[in-house]
Amino acid sequence: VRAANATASLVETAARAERAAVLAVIAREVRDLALAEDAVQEALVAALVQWPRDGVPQRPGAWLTTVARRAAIRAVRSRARLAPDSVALERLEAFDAAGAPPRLGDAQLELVFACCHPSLALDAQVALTLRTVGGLTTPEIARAFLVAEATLAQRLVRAQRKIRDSGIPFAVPAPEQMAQRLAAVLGVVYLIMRPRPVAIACASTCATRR
Amino acid sequence: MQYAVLLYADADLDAGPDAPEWQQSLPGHQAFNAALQERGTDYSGAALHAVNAATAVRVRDGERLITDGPFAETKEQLWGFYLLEAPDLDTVIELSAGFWEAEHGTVEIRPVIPMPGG
Repeated sequence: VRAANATASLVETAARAERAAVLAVIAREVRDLALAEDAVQEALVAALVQWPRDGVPQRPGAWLTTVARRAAIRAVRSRARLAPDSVALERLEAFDAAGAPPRLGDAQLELVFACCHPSLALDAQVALTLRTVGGLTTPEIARAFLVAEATLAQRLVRAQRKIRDSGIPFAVPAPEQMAQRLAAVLGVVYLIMRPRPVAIACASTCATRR
Repeated sequence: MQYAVLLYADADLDAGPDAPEWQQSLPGHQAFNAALQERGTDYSGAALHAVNAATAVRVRDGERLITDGPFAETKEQLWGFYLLEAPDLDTVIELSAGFWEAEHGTVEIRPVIPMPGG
């Protein structure tokens, strides 16, 4: 029993540590946060089944990325029947074939810039960043914003959809745009990093201003 | 991805080659066209006559109602548009920032819904 518990906590620790990084890699390839989240979730579930049985792989992040990428390919393919997205599929398959090690840090930085894109409302930027980069759950963010969970969930879905439908790039901006874009990112980071009561007040003020 | 770039300008402005604003906006459009041709991008577009040339069509209870003017009173009028292919939103923002309309009105970028088999 103790061994099983130890494995379970190992799996959970590895999953927590790797989730955001794996999500960033998948998201930049499919440019679809909702789809990427589902794919990563599928990989985490697979890990919960397989790791206690076969042991935690040497590079849990790489393992999770491979499984999540396969899940993403399946999802993109089935979606392609409705609206063809050959670009996402090509990108995913090229990555798969090359087996290149994902540049985790870069992917996460690109994810931050996508979540803090100025074409998203400020409250959506903060919520998305907390969720995808910070790894907070929807109920946790809803509490911080002092809004109903359903309201926040809908706000997140809308923001994720906007990233996908408007083709917001998962990329570090061009040098001439960097100053402005970085200011937006820092504004969001500032809201997130401030002592909690202040952050809550700021976030809810921003939310009600719109 | 395909994008529609919608150019809005003051509703009181006249459109067409005789309007001074038309001349002022030309360099921005020439630069835009040159940039897209250099990229080899497929695109199309049109400049529109001013809102006083607009006709509104509504069918209510099977009855056709034809009236003058735009569908709503707005401070800005749709002045022209482009349809173009671009890899992402930032590319279109970059291309759109050079328009006279961006400085004096608003440029709205709208992603186009991909049609199955289209």
